[in-house]
Amino acid sequence: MRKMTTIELRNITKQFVTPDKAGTFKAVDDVSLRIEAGKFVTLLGPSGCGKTTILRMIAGFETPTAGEILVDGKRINDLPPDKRDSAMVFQSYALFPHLSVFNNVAFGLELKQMSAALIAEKVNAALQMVGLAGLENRQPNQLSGGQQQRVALARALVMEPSVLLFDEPLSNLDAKLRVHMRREIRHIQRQLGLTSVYVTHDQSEAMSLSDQVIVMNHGVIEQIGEPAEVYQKPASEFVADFIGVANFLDAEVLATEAEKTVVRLLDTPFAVPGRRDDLQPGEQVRLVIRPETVRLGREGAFAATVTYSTYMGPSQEYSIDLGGIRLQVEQPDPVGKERFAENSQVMVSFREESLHIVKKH
Amino acid sequence: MTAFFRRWRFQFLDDLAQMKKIARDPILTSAILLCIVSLFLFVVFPLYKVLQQSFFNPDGAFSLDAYKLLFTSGENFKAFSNTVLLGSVVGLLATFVGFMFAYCYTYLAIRGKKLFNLVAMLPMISPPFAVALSIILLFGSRGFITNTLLGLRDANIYGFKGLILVQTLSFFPIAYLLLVGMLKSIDPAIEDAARDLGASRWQTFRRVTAPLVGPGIANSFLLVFIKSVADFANPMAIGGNFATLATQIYIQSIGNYDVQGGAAVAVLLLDLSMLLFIISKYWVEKKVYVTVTGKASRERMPISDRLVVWPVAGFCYAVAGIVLALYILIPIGSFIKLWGINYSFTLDHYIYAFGVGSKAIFDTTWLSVLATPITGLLGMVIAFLVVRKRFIGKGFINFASLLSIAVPGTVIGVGYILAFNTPPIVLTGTATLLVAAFIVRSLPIGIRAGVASLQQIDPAIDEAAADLGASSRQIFFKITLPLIKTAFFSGLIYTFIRSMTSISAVIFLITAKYNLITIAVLDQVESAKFGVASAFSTILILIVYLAIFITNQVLTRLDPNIKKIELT
Ligand SMILES: Nc1ncnc2c1ncn2[C@@H]1O[C@H](COP(=O)(O)OP(=O)(O)O)[C@@H](O)[C@H]1O
Ligand SMILES: [Mg+2]
Repeated sequence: MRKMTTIELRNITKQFVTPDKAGTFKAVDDVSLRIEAGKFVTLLGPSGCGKTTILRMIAGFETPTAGEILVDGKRINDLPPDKRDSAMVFQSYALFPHLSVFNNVAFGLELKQMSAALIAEKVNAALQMVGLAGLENRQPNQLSGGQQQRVALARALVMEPSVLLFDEPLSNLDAKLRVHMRREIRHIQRQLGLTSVYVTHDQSEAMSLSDQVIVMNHGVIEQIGEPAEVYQKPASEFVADFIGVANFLDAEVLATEAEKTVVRLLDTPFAVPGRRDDLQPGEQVRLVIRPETVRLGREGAFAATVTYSTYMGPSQEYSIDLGGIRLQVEQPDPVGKERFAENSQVMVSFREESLHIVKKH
Repeated sequence: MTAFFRRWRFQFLDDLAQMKKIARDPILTSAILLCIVSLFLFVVFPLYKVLQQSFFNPDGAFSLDAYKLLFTSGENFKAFSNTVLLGSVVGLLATFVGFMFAYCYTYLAIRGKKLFNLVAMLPMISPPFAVALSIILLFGSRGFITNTLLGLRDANIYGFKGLILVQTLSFFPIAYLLLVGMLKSIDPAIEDAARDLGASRWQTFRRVTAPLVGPGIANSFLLVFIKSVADFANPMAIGGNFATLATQIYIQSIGNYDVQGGAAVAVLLLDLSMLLFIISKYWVEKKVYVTVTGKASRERMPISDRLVVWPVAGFCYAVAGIVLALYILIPIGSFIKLWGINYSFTLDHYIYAFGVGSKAIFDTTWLSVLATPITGLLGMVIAFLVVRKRFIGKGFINFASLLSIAVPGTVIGVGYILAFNTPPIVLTGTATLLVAAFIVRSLPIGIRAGVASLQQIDPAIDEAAADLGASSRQIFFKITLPLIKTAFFSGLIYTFIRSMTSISAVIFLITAKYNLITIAVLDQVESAKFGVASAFSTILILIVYLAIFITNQVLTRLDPNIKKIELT
């Protein structure tokens, strides 16, 4: 049976005492969001921006200073963690070192006073699902990092929670395993249709896992959107910079129209597609240009000098000087294409549909 | 078997190859030899003498008479069962109190946690009779509570119950310090995980926290047991007719002039301590669960639920208050004319202490001052050798220094009488022997602290120094010692305090030539002169405080950023 659970945070603020105990600061500042049933949502942001604090409030380890947390419309602010129907996968795994793999996974079921036979059945199914069948009798310290990670996942899954919470669960694994595990997590989540909240500071993890990404900074939400949206249409300079690599160029709004916004960049007008009611003609703005959208060639709109060029395998990376402005450029799949040497002249052009306007702050 | 032999042979040849290198370094070689010889002379040889003595009758023939006597003499058997009973009861009580303190300190949102560390530190820097003395002042036949307040005529705190009280209050800090370390090392995320999986606070405690500290609790019980069994001062002061092995050794060998009989009892005490020590070292400590992932993810959120906080914290505050009161009582008692009868102010006890007792004060201080730097340096040298060097005889150094942790002071005392009374080496009655006893009693802790801090330091640092041309001696003085200087200075302070307050070993070695404060206190307690006893104790505490103060002052001069020595 699938449990379909929505989570809602309404104006949640969490204050902590500062480390010097002199005052308080807001780790989470007036955050509101809604997580739809069955969706995989990531909280993404730099270290210290309040992601874990939000997750721990949903789990019940921290109590909000202000605001409400609602699960399926019911307020759960005052429910202790053991009374909540969520299960968390911890960053440090938090396996019980004195219990075997089997007993770690069985822990929560035993507290529910389930029959031994049923527990065994469920535990074995969960271990099967994470690919750990046969390791039931190992102690946690006899497992590799990846295996410990799977036990932590199985221990959460076996509870059949209505919400799965992850706090940077892959950050202690090596790069290859990390990519592998995130596929597996996504697969299992889809299969069970579990509402999931996933905390990470790794943008590629967030992009590859989520239905929705919530980008945070300094305790506030910068943007909520699908992965493609936060990448292509970042709501702020911070989001553009945090997710992937971005060039920022100064520009001026010339006109806002129903279908497009015209800006002046390097004394040339560009029509950026899309309606932008938040901009005024004459306003100074910043243009976000992703490195892989910049075209280099013998022909083009602007002349530039190559200051740096390096072969990366999947792409050729350049740094170019465009009338005193430094631009990062990436040419995908460089094999067979012309490569430009350092100090050589190139022509640069931008595609209007790849330009994105953010407000200047 | 052949595989074992081959491995052993390889190890031996490899060590031998290492030795060739070491032999080219005369200073290193002499350091190693010096350590081996002194450990042999002052630890292994006296213990061997105790064993030997207990197997031979006064005519030098092999005999088990001494052991027969143990079981035929009701006195000795009684002392044995008393000791085990006392150790078990105090082990349980002190562990319970220590656990409550540790839990309170690590888990509860309360104020005044520093108080716990202060209370834990007091027994370490006080004369061994401090608590016993205060308890007698409060509950003795002329006790302030029993006699002055309640008007009881013949209250008797001496004996089993008095000992339990005194030892529990003196030794629970051992349990506290051990368990606090243990509880702190539990990753709070593990307990969060249990809560997250539906465990209530109590279930989390019972099913996760308690099993994780289980081995720590067992270990704390054993360590307190060892301490209680080895304790000499308290049973002498407040034991009354309740004889223990430690006091029995003293009474046999000094009171009855029967060193052989004393040695037989000493072997029994040694066996008991060693057994407990081995269980603790090789069985319980192996069971300690290592934290599975290295780093604790975040700090523990302190519990502020009143149902938990009030009973636990209330208990701890009460105990802490009692301990503090007991210690404050000693300086107070030193200014009171005749406790229980005449509570008027007097300086007589100090006049006596600084008059008749000045020799004891002086001797104790300078002998301790002499022992301190030797122990400090020797401890660091041994730690350096054990952690950083490979040589034949390292196993012996390790073994001998571990051994001296487990050996009760009274056993060392008897051993020294046996070993150094007769040629080839006659040291009885010399300052050398007293200083040696001081050193042997403090050395193991110094070594342990040194080893612990050296293990934190990347050996590549030493290798880099050697690579740049430093000799072993230069590495030790220029690299190792500066890096572990906090451990070194704590070792100094510890040795000084331990020497100033020691009694169990040295009471066997004392002659008219030297006198010690602790022994003076014991004499005064035994003749019920509590005022003078309190004055001596107060002076002792002041000297110790002064030493800590001076060391910290010196440390700050040397390096303003260094962490001050706190004994906890
Ligand atoms: N229990 C706490 N007490 C005080 N400060 C805290 C506590 N938990 C988190 N913080 C602080 O709140 C801020 C946000 O922390 P956290 O949510 O863990 O960040 P993130 O998970 O995004 O890295 C940090 O500055 C952190 O130091
Ligand atoms: Mg975090």
